[in-house]
Amino acid sequence: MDHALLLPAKRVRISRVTPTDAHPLDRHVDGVRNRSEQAFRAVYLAMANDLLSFAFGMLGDRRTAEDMVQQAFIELVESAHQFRGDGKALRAWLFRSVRYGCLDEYRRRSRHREYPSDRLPERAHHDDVISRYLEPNLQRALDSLTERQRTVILLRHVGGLSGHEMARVMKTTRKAVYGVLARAEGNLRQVLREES
Amino acid sequence: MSQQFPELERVRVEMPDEVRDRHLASISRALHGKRTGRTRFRLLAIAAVLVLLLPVIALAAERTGPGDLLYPIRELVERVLPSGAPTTSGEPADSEDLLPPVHRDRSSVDRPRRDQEVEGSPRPEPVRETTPTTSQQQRDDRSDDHDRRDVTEVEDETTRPSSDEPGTSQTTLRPEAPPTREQRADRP
Repeated sequence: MDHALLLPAKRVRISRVTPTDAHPLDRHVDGVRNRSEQAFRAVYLAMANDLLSFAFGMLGDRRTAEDMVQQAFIELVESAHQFRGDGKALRAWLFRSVRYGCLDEYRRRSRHREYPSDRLPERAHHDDVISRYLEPNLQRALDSLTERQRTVILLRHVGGLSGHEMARVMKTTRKAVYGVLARAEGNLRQVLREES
Repeated sequence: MSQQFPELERVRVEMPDEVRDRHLASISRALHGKRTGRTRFRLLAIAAVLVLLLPVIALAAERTGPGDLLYPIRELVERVLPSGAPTTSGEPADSEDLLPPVHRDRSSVDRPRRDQEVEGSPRPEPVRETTPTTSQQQRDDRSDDHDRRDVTEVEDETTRPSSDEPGTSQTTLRPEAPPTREQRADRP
């Protein structure tokens, strides 16, 4: 007798196992941890433009935004041996570092009462002057948001981060991030409509 | 690429080449030379701990004896410290000079030892006032002279000068103490 025929068939759950999407930075994480110059160069070339755009939207000043990006990578050099995670964690770490730098810059400006829009000349002569600062309308629209709303708007629509990545940057839950994002998008849409 | 907010596309910028090269150079410098800052901080911390701990260890080692763990430190401290400093043996070279005048041994000033007297020198005479003194003063003088004598001296009543004979030398078995500077000054 075949025992296999008597036994009830086990219901085996077939789960759809999909391979995790490999992040472009995954292969450089070990090199970063080992302080490899080549790994750092690769990470910089992959992340510099996104980080610069994020910082530019936060601060409105390109020169300061460039300094924020440099500072973030210097801090990564200092704490590279302690980093634990994959490529997504590394990306979130860099955005978080730039965000903290921008917050420090806000505090410094509030002490010295500096505003980038005050430095704009009435008549622009060179392209450098035009491109250094954010457009006044857009700057005013972003300034109408809170810091957290501005952060999630830029992370989502400029940096292209997912909800999970934004939650890592903000050190909060995805639910909280989506709540802030919804309010931010509504406010920004209203302000831009008024501006236009 | 945000489709909800096309205005935000103006926020997207690219890193200029010269800025990118400058950043990469600074990252390279940080990778190869950044440990010096941390190492310097650690060295400063160790130096601060040593500056605070070494005096405490030296104090703790003062009361140790041979065989104790900190005894080598005590030997090192005693070797390093100057010889004039007081040690546990209690025999400094010039400790008397370090003491304030009030604590000095006055016996060396008021009562010189017998071996300090020069042989053949005239027998010291007690200072007697030329003016006639009262009997009380004479008794006081006599008691002062008696106090200066050595305690082992056997008093001979016959040799004690009488109170009516001022200025006479005392024929005693032991010589009298030499007159002090004040007594010599009072002499005519």
